[in-house]
Amino acid sequence: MMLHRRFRLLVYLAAAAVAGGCAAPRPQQAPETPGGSIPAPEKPAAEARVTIFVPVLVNDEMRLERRSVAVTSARPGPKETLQALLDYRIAGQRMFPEGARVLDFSVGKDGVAVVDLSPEIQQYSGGSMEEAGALNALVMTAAQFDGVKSVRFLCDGKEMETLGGHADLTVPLVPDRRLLVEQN
Amino acid sequence: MLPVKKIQPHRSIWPVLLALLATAWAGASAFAARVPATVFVTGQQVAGAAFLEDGRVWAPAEALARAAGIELQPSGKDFAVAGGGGTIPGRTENGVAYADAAAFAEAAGGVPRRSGGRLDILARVADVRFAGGRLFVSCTLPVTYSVHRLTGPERVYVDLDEVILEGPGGETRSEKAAVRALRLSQYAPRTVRVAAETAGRLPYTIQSPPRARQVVIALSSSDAAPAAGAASGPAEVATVREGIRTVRSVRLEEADDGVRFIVTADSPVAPQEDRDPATGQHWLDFESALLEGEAPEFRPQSGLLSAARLVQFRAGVPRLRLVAQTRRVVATRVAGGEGPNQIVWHLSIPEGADGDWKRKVIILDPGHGGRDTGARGNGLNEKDVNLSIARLAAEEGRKRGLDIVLTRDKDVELTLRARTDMISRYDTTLFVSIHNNSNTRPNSVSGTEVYYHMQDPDSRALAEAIHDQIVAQAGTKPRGARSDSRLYSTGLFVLRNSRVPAALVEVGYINHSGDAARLKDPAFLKTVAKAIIDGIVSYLGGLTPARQPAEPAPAQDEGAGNEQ
Repeated sequence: MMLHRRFRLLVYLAAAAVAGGCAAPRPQQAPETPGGSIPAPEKPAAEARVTIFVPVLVNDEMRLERRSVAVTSARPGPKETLQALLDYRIAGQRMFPEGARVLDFSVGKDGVAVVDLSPEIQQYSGGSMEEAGALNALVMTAAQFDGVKSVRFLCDGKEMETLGGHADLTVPLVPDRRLLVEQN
Repeated sequence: MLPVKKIQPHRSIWPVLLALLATAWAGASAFAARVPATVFVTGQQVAGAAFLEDGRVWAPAEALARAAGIELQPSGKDFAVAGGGGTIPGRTENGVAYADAAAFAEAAGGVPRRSGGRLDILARVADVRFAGGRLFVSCTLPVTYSVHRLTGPERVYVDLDEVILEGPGGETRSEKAAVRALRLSQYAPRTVRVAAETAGRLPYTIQSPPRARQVVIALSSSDAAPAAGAASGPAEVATVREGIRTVRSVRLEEADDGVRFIVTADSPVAPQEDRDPATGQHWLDFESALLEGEAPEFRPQSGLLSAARLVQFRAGVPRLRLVAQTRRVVATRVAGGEGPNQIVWHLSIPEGADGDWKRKVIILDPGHGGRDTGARGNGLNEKDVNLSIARLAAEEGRKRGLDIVLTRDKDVELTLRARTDMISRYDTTLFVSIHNNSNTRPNSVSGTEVYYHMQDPDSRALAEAIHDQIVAQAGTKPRGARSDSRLYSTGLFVLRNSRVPAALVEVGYINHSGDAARLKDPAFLKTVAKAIIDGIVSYLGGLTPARQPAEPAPAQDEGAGNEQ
């Protein structure tokens, strides 16, 4: 466990050193890891469940579907819910980089939620459809909380230009309910 | 501890410092009345530096118009909104044209609300209508909104942000319609709520982008009977219409740079625009509409159109189609006309396509680079494929006489801002970003899609031209020219931040084995590169647009329709 922690610390420091901040070029993406080789997550201490939205393909188009997933926190809030999405796997593959964490979540009076993500998020890579699925899933998941009208992303407290080289994260993103499957 | 040397100003520099202070004081006095300001159009901040001076907020005119999704026409140093609305005072500072933001708001049908250095431009509700199973909520400016469902009684409601009613709102009812009642109210100081009480639980689907001037909610595709028993309320209140509108006249006007069709109806119309790449036809569909009298005969004289006609479909719900057969790549847009019952369909030579198409500066932007690999799969890194295509396209373009600039010609990292900043460094005509795609499920989706920003007509024409050429020449599966609003409410970074017509090409899916195999073939990459240049050249007017077999033309699907 100690070794694991040290490894995570090393990855974090390496990412921070190479990236030199969130607006800087992104560090090398860690190779994709098959689902089976990742240590199994700890079992939830309590049977708390949260709702997240995940990308699915419907008629070759990206849509979002609601999922109920278990989390370890007894009283999960927005941070824990968004973390559940960051850790979610589709067909054994992570959507977001290993180690990516939600550092902070807040909602302003103007309805703009600010989601601060850890520097590991910069290791994200993907095509525009994949990136749109991941980002819209985050936005829709964040938008289920009170007062959230749009979502702005930060990386370690600093402005993010993009996630995967297509989206514009310098402005808040509005949840697009057209993407929802089973919205009725 | 190191000795610290105290630095003191030499006596002889005091006069210089005093002179500098005096100059600074004089400068500050000259601009004392000017303070920085921020302008928001229905919640979206207008880009660029706005300022408050003598009680007026001035904002960069181009950014203001973009945020409001309307066209500003220069009138000397002032501006006017296309379709009327009076003069908007303008001024130029350091080469940037500024407009009086409050006057702009009024001219655009919005409502200015100023608080200190912040000016908010709110939208009004222009029309609420239920027709053909769909709820249409039209606002004077693009708005964000949310859709919800409530029971007891069953109703679907739409909350429109940054919108105000000038009247008290109201309600209209119809016991025979699928929507029994429509209610309009000021739910919160800046939120208008449109509630549709339905006859039982109806499924709903949102059919408009997350930020739209017209919100469209399909409440049922088949169960909703045409609404009946229209009841009129206060001017601003929704009306449940009979479902059938009358188009009174369609007029064609031609000019050197384009043509326009002026359509006048008996009530507001919201036509759907479409095109058929196989035939070069563009058309407008007016749902639930009948033409009054004989169809006019159009005889276009300009080089833009070869023919135009009206087709009346009478089977089922009547539909009127206005078809324009184009000779070249055109930019099209639908705008408001004189009064709420008139629309104008513009078809024009797209921006930058006038005159000699050669020697135009075209920026080609190979996506990703360096440690940002982009999509990966099937042994490919997207950044490498993008660069290969861009290099080949640059070679082809230069051979054809275009002035090609590459944002990167080797494997290096570039921020997205650095890429779009290059547009200002040159006399750029077009910006084309070259990418390849991936999704969450390998081997699921394949084909070519080309994105343009929001509803920008010029960028859409460019995206369509490139898409059509790639599909026709490289034989990839057509996934269409698409608005980037399908991906995000704010669109894609390089398209949003381009001040010239721009497109983002997704040639194929790297995580699809079929597409990946092609992307490894140098001959295929060369064909795609040539097709991208052909698309650019056809946009610029130097080549006939590609005509590839595509999906059947909708006009042919309507065999049961009676053509007038």
